[in-house]
Amino acid sequence: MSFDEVYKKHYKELRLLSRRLNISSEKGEDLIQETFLRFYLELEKNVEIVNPRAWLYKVFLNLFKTQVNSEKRVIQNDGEPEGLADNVYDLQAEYINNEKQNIVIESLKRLPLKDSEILLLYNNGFSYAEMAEIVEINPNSVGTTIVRAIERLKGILKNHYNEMFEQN
Amino acid sequence: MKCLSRTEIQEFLDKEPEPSQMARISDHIEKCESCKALYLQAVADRAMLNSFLDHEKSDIDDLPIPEFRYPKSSRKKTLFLSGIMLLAAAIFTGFILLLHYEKRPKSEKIPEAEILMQEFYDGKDLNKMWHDKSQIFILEDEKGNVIESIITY
Repeated sequence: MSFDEVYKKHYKELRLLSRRLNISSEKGEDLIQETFLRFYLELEKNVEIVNPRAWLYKVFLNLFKTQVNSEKRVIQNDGEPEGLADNVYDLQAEYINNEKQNIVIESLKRLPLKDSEILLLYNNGFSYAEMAEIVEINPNSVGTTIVRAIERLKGILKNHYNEMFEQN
Repeated sequence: MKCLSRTEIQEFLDKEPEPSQMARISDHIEKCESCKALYLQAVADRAMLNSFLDHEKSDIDDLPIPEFRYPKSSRKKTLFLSGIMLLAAAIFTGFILLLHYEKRPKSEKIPEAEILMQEFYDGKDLNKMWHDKSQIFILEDEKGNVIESIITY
């Protein structure tokens, strides 16, 4: 698969991952471009990347962690979903949608970073082996990490958003 | 088979164990009420997680994909290669034109003695040229007698 095909195929996935990790759109775009740049340079060096998707996620998350270590996470408070400016939404539906999006972002933010990562990768259909490779953990502990992360997420949702979920 | 842990249930749900192991776990869950309850809870948890995270996925479909910002060095390399190719094309064209020039029919040189016998050479009237370019010098003595006449051309 050529570079352009990989870029077109996985760009939106990384954009979604970026949004869920509460990275501002500008910085998220920079991280995505940096990720693809590294991928491009690897291809230029004729390095064979067997699983480009897992490779891109790993590099993106590593870049993100490096950024988190150097500065606090940027809180995106505008509440408006990106790229939807041209879409016409029912106001009430948009309000509910924005609220849910904020809940997702806020809940993931309350989790330890490793838990957020593993849940997002799990939701994106990665195998245990791929997840272990991406977040650099023992493959045998992936199941435990997923269970623990789900339990923590449930605790957060129950403590902070139970009322809102009951309403919807 | 002893009862399963929540992690083992999760791995079973995600079809991670070997096929033979999967069958044994499945049999056990069918028979064991507490493990079945754990399994159903894991199914519900996974559904909750997917429902929780998936609602944003439709939003992202509408996003435009920006152009990839290719590295400058790569652009320089591309420009350099384009320059090389342009130069090669120019050299090739020049070579072709040179070959064409070399192959054109050439008029044979006529010896000078023969030229003098021709009236026209290379489209020019030789008599007229001779008249136009020649000069006549006449040397006379004091009495006006012609000593010598010289024609130059």
